[in-house]
Amino acid sequence: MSDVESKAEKIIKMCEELGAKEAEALLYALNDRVVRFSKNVIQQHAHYHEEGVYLRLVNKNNRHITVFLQPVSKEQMKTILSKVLEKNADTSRAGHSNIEQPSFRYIDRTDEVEDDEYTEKVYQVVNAGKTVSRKVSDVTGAIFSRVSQIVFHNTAGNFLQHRYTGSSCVCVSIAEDYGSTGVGFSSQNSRSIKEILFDNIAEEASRDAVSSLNPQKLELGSYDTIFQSDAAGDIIGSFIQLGFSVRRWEDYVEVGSVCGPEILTVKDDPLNRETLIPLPFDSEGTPTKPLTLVDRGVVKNKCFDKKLALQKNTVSTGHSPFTHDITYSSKFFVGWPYYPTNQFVSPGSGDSQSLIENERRAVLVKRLMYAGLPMGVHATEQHRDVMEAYTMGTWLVKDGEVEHSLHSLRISESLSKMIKSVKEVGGVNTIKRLGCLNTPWIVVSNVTYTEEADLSFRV
Amino acid sequence: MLDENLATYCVNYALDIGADYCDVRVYRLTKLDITQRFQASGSETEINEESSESIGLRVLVQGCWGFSGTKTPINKETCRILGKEAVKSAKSQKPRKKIELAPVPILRKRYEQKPKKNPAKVNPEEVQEFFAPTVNNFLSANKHVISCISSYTGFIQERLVITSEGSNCFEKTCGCGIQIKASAKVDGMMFSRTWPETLNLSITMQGLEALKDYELDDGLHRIGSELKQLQNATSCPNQKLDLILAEDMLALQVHETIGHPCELDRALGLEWDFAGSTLLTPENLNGFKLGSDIVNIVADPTIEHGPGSYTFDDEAVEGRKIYIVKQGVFVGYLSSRQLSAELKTENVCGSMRSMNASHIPLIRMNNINLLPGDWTRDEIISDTKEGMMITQPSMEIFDQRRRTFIFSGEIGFYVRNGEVVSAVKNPVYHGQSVDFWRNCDAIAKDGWRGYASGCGKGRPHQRVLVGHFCSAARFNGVKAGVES
Repeated sequence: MSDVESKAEKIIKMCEELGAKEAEALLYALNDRVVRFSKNVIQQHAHYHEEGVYLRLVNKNNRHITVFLQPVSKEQMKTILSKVLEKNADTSRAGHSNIEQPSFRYIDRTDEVEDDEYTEKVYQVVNAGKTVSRKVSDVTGAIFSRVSQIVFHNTAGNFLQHRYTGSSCVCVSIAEDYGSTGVGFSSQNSRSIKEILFDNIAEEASRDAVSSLNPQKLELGSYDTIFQSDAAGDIIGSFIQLGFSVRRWEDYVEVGSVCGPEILTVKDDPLNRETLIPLPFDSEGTPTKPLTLVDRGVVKNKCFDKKLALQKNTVSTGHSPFTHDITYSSKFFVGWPYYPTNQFVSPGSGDSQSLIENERRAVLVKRLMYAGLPMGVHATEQHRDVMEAYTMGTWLVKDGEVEHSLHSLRISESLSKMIKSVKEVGGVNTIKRLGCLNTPWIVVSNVTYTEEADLSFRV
Repeated sequence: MLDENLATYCVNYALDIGADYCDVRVYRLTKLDITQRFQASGSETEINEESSESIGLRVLVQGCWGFSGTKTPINKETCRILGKEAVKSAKSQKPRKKIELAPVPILRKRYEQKPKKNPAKVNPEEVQEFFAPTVNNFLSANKHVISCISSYTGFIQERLVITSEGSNCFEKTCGCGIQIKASAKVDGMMFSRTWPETLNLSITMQGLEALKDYELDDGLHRIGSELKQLQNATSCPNQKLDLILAEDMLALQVHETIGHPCELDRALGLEWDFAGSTLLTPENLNGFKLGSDIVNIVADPTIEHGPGSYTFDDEAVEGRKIYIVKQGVFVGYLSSRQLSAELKTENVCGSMRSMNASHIPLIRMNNINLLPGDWTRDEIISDTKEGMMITQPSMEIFDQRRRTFIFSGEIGFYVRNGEVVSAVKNPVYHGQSVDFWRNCDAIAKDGWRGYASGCGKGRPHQRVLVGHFCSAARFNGVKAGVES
């Protein structure tokens, strides 16, 4: 880990020397390790190191400028900063004068794992996955770990620092049986690689792959659906991002209105040590605090950064998103963290078995893939309340039991309608920590399916 | 110029400490992004300057891969750290199957694009002045438009690739692009129109002089009129019809249902854990009828000004044009040296690229182009009895093998008896990839140009610029709307 703290101090000092009236710097340093495997081969065994600095500057003419620099020499940095401080930009961004705390340090423990341990874990996963059944033809996946540091420093003397570590393992097993292909998925995230249960992940993925073989057709239409945590997280995370985040669809939900059933409560709790990415401050240096977004189905609060707060005559809630990817979870697109980043969906009472037993005829969905989620929504972007997504791990539940597997299905459904149609929220033992989201299973009435896709090898 | 001595030192150091093979990449990127938001109440500008250097070292030790890359400052010490990390991670593996590389000629290339005006060094005021007067006039004249966002991006990228086999290649390229997105509210919902129609800005690999070709007034006038039409537009019909895809929409269709499926890493099962697989599995190569006879698709990194053009890839393999689909038959994969060897083909086409040198190279699209046909765009419209034309992608979804898909655009136009009769809001179509391409019955010969797309893949996620050259085309019997 490089000395990001002293770099922050030097950069702010340089900005002052070059005539900046105000300057704030957000520095990050990432040390990542990724091992990807398939076909019994480690296809990628890689170390990644990255540093970057986002600068917000106010020049002598009171113009606001943002700059992103990735390590360049001191001389180059000086040249670039001299040049941009002359520029005549204006972002009307609020200044940094309202930072509440002068200094904040949050140090988490770091992981030290040797290369050969990663290799051991890969073969552990492959062996455990293949032991489940002879029908398992391949066990693929990735092990990821990150040691990260974020430092915020500005000309007002504020200095904030956060260090965190994280690991994830994702496993996708492939099973084959007389021309049928079954695909199974499992993953786990933790702040420490030592807490990840590699055997369990591999076995779950392989069991799912085998139980996904020989899927039967389902008449397209609407079905009550049990979404396991991964899928439930995508649905609730998308809804929250679309309606509550800083980059939101302004009138998607109104504070005080009913957006869901009474069993639905969602909080953002950035300081909770149970979450995978506790964040003591946002990218503007505003200290974070818990915020209830949905309280028993009623819209309670929305998020603000300084700029939006200025427009709406309120204060920042500490939700200015980081520009670099702060997550280490096993999502398909890791560059799509949900905002706010530490959502907790309050659990209900039922366990996974009882949620299944309660259904006479329903679809059970493990995960959504290639979901057309309303990401990156800006207040002035085209509105779309329709969620399009393909399922991965799909079964029919009949008379309280999992009857057989189904093809991958395409959901085409109103996101707000799905939230309003949540009829059950799973208990605490159905919660999965997914990086940004801490979500139990949910059951949603009348989800519309418009296509099915065969994942077998035949064309 | 990038430090070739440092890169050579990195290669030699890796060989000294045990690498059997290695390649090193050094990138430098200088990028300028300017975004202006215009509303009746005023405007604001955001300027982002990016300047980065990166280096990555990939090694093979006893048939196992190791890699280390960094965006931290580059010096000899950095090279030694990378060497140790890459070799150590390769040595830590117990090879169950040795990785081999298909042989390629040693390549020595030097290419430096010489733009008339450097697109990364433009004065922001110049860009602000390019947009502001016209956009402000447009907003005054179109009260139904709530906001306009204009974007400019300009960049210069330097790439150096050196391999232990003796290849040594350097390339310096530049590009720039602009875009305007205008938005209006219709019945409480926001609708947008984008100009020029594109997938990711209208990036072209040229200097700032390329901007003179854009006719801002005409473009804004058209999207303003289309936003007005959307106020009275009909909803998307829920029926089978003949679908005419405008060039930008077709670029997306090519990207998702041809470009990604022809990546050999997907075909061999190496991407199941994140990106998924493909319908184009190896047994289908050189025989499978993927499209109608008029469908010809090439991967071409050599095309002038192409968003995905390059002279060599990240394995120092010369970029060359190959057919992916010839007269409707699937004939080629995008591949790497490793996977070409695995497939036992010597057809290494140079498709390995990374987002920056600190990331591992992956098989990526370059310019995946649908070759022009015999029709004109007007002839296709006038020959259509009942159909819909769609432009400007707004949503795309597909299954893990990309056999089925659903796409939508910003605006559609209903076509009846050869004439455009009305605008359609939220146009959506869906289908099966193979049926779709087999039902392509007309491709335009005019309007063939490149569309840039930012394409995501890999773990960690990497986004690279790719291109698609297309002209409009028609597809019979496509399902529009969503059955629910």
